[in-house]
Amino acid sequence: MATIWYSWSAINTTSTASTTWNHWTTATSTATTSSATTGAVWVEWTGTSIAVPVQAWRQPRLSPEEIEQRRQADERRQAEWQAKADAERKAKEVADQRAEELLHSHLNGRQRRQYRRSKSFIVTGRDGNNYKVGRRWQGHVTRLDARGREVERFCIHPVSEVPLPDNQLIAKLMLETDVEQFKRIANATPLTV
Amino acid sequence: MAGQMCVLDRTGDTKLIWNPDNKDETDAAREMFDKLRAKGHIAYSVKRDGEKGEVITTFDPHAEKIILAPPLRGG
Repeated sequence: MATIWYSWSAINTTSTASTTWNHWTTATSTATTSSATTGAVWVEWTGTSIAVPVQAWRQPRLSPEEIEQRRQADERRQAEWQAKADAERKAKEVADQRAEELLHSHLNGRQRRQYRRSKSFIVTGRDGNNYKVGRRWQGHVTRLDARGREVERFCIHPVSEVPLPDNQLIAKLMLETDVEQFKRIANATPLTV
Repeated sequence: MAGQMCVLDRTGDTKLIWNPDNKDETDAAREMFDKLRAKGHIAYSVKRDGEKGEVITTFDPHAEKIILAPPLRGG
């Protein structure tokens, strides 16, 4: 009687000319290479000597109408997703523009020129030091030494999302009014010069 | 002259304008100010021309412009 996995990896000493695949099809010691034509893998797989048509999975048959309905539903879903993505992108562009206008209104002439060149500007803090405020979410503020070299980086940002120009304006306002509070909150990293 | 409050948020900023001579408008502005301050927002009183401002903790109905920034944290 056949058993599953009887000789998966071993050569049965009672068989002749045994190979792994021979025993895959039959598991008795009388297996021969030629008997494989009648032995079906799936017969042994199910543990029965009776060949049973086995179909692991059958794709459902759809009518042309059902196929077309599915296609249209997919298209609608894709269009809805695209519209949502477009709306979000547009909203972000509008927010960035508003934030940039607000920031611009709070920069002096020199800072506006710097911002036009590099999207960053230099602020003189209340402590008398100069700070460069860049356009990034994190690590966007650096303290400059007397020669204008960046010697310390500060990582600070709002707990809630705002456009990057807002992030820059917030840093500017805090540096100009309360540097001590700024340094209490920010994570500082000295930079090698 | 009307006062302006800019609340920095994900839309850029949300503006609220009040007339210091109008009690209802002033009260509405004060209510928003107090609500956001209670949430940890930092308030800056600035001039309209962007001149350096100062931190304020109470609503000033005669302020030209108030910017409310969300709370900050180290990155």
